[in-house]
Amino acid sequence: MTALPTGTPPTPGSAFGKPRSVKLRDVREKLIVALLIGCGLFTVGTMVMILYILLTNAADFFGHAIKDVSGEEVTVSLTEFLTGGEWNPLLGAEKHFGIWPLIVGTLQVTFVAMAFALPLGLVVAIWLSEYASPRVRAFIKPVLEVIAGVPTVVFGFFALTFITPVLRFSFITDENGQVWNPFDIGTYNVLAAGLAVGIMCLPIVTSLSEDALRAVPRALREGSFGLGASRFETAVKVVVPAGLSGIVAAFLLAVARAVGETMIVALAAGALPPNLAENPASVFDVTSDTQTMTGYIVQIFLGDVSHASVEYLSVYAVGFMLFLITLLLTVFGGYVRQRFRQAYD
Amino acid sequence: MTSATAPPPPKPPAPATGESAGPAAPTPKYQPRPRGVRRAKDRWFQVVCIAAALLAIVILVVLIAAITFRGAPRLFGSFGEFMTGFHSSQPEEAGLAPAIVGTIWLLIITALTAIPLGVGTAILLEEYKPRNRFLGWLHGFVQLNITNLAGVPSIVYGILGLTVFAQFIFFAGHAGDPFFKVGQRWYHTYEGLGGSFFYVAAADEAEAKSERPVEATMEFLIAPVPGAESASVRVMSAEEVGPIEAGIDRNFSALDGRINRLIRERRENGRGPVAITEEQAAAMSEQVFEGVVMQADVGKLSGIATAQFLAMNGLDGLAVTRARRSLTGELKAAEIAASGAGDIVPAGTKATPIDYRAWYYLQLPFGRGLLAGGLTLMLVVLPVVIVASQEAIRSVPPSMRAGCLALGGTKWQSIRQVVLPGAIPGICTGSILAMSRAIGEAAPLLMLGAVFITFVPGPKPGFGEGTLMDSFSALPLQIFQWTGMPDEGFRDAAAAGIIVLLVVLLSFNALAVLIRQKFTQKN
Repeated sequence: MTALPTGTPPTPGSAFGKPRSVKLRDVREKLIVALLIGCGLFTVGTMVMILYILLTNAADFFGHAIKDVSGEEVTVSLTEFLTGGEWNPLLGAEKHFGIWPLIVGTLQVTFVAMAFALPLGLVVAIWLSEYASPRVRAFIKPVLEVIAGVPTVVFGFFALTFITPVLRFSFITDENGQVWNPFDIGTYNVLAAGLAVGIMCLPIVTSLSEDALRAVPRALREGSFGLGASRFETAVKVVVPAGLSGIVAAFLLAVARAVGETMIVALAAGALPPNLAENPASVFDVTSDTQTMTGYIVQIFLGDVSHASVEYLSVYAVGFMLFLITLLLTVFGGYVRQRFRQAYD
Repeated sequence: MTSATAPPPPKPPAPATGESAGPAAPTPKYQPRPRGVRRAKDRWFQVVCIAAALLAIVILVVLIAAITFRGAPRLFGSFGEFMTGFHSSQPEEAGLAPAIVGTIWLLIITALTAIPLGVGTAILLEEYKPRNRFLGWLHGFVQLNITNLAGVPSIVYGILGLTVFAQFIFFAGHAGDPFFKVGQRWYHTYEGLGGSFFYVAAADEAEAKSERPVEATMEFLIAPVPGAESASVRVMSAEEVGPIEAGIDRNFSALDGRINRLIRERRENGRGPVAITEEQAAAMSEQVFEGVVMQADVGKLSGIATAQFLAMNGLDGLAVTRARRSLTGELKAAEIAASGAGDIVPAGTKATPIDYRAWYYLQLPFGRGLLAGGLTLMLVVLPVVIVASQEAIRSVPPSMRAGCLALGGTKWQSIRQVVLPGAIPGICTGSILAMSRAIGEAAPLLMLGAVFITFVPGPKPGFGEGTLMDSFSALPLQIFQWTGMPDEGFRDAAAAGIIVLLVVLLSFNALAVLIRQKFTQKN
């Protein structure tokens, strides 16, 4: 270290450099803050734009006559949209725009997916946090991360070219020597799409639930063991209830992902939503094809549909419903996690 | 603590071991459960757990195996052709080149926009926490908004991108008729006698579309690009052109007849598919020019003919007719060029417009192109980049900021010199993972991309034309479209494409892990 020159202040141009202008520095600081605020406002602007685009175009869809692709004028009322049980914009002589078939189609796929992913994901999460040794964890966690990183179009391919053929596999031989499959499963079906969506959701359920379970303090577990409980009893009766808010939040987020999933259902679920007006029992039909809200949007955008037609505008109404449902699930999931989180510190 | 304030309820006076409870003793309120059952339950649960974890592993293995078995033969059977080829109606010939290049361009646009925006937002949220109550509420709102944006389905971003970036709903222009353009030039096109084209610069689009007849005083160019060499063109009246054309035509109607006869001989029953071997092609092109006086070099012409005959091998029906016409046309063009008539443009020829787009060509709205696609993907991954950057910034210890401020640094200096260098590894890792998400996203691109494109999209300065407004394909998009086709051959191609996609993603993830490891070792 060289000694600082004493007495005389450093002259400009000396080893200390020229002192920078304070005014310039302040202007720069303010400019940067403005720039950063601009970045922050961009994210808010994105949300505003989503709402604006969906709302204005969806509002345009209702209440007045619009030409459809074949040139006929169709008027869709909000009541029909919100209560109708039939959705057939692309086929049928009389067009019906009732959203419920698409919502039911979405719920069918989501239900199958959750019936697969929730129990499996929760059990794996309990095992990872309560039973597994660090070495096993170090093996299972990357597996889940790889599954989480697989693009959804790959799961769509898997559903269509592997799960469906496996489900349709003929394994029963009757007296005539005919080999057949007792379940009447279509080329496009809810089951295969739902299972693929379930596989996609598995890492989300597992990792978020596991985080919730690991956040439960050790003292609770030790207290339970001290009272003579087994590991199973501790896990099921102490740890899971304590981490329940996180688990519920994980479930809600997984449901939101399943509802918004596009590529899998576009490939494997078909394009025919259940007709609730004529056949209400089709709600429970998971072996034939269906259509989700996302699937419908893809179908319209991939087809050459005129931008001014009623079919094209219906996409915005469906998109708004989809946005609303997923937003509510996300917000509610976040709320549950915040509200019911038990602070142990 | 709870036990101290609220004493536990009095326990029933039951002995510790259940079996010794005599008939006289009162039945305990809580029956202890048999130990064996409890143990069995514990064990069984563990079995279920391991089975569930194994199932997850099995699913991954089956997924990879199913794709590899389908795709590997297709991918490695003709690796070079698959990676450099274009979409084709023949599944064995379909290739990935436009999808790969499209994905690279999308990635560049997404990275250049999402990372600065995301890091900026993260700095704002982490470093500039306001004390003011209203601003504090706003701060919390922005944070909540980002969480909600992360939960918006990607297809909704697709609708947004299509409506805003591709069509600019707020302005009068729409994709087909942009209201602002830069980097575009217009030319008149005149067709010469031998099928060659000559170009004349036009002042603007309206003039280019005015069908201006050809004039001898025009400045002709050999290509519709700025800085192209000028071409010498003779504008001749119909009376002058007539005899020249007639002479060549007479010669070629005989040649065309000969070619037609030769091809028919090579077809099954005179109308089935054509079968031509290499020797036959050479022999045929010799026969074609036998005893014909041509101005062009016959050796060169027969070279053209041989190649074209070979290309006809296997063709059927209309395709043969089309191939024959193109052969005759090509020979004719060569003959006209050799006879010195190639630079003649008949008087009265009307111009057709053609435009040249520089590599920096920009139009507003963007239309369904690379730029709109990349910006849409930016919206999709922005929340991921923000959240990852926030975590990275939060991990820098506050004492380091305090140190910088204590030395007289300003807020921005402390961010620039202390916080960002400390947070860079985390930001890098998060950004790479966000980009790998962008690579795999197909849903938001469905309405912005075109799938069956037969050119390489994007600007290639110095190598050819192409702009950021080009329609594009991307890896996941191409895979989606091939999977949706009923032909099993295309599904094999889709599986091969998936292998490529997964390898790219895996290398991205490996890079992220490497960066994380490198920097954690250092600290």
